[in-house]
Amino acid sequence: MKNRLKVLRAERDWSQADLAEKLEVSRQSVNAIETGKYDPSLPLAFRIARLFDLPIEQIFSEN
Amino acid sequence: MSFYGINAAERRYNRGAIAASLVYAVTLIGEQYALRYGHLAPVAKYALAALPALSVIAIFVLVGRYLVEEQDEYLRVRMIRQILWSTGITLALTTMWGFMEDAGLPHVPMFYVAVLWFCALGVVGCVFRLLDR
Repeated sequence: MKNRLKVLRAERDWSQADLAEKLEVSRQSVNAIETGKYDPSLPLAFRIARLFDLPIEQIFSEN
Repeated sequence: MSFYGINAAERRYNRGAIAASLVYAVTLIGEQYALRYGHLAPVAKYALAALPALSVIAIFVLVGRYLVEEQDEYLRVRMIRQILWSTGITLALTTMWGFMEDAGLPHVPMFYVAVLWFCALGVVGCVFRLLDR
């Protein structure tokens, strides 16, 4: 699954640690999701969508 | 959520593992001394010899508790992958060694299986952390 997390984070000038703190996850989680090594669970994907105020499909897409 | 990059579940696991390791060292030394110099009944010897194993089993339980307590889903998945890799490495090496004993390799006591598993867990954990940077 592809995602735009890195772009969205950069637009807001947030570091990985900033985003991790806002999502209440580890920085490693943010890094793993951004690099496509890990696909988040549905609850975490919803949290990410809420944080960026975007629909899930505008952040995550199929390959 | 985290303190110096270690969250609450990791901290509890680390503390528990250190405590269990200390108990392991003390019971191992005591057990070896008692078996060598004590005049014990066979049943008492078996019970005494099993004592250090309890600390090792406690660390297995701690690993299980960590998986239950870890709130970060990625770190939980990473630990599960780490366990699977270390179990695979241990099973592969011990199976290989077992067959090679037929060809003359020295017999290795069974408790080294746990030692190998912990070593593999540590090495795989280091590799995963490096890959996560």
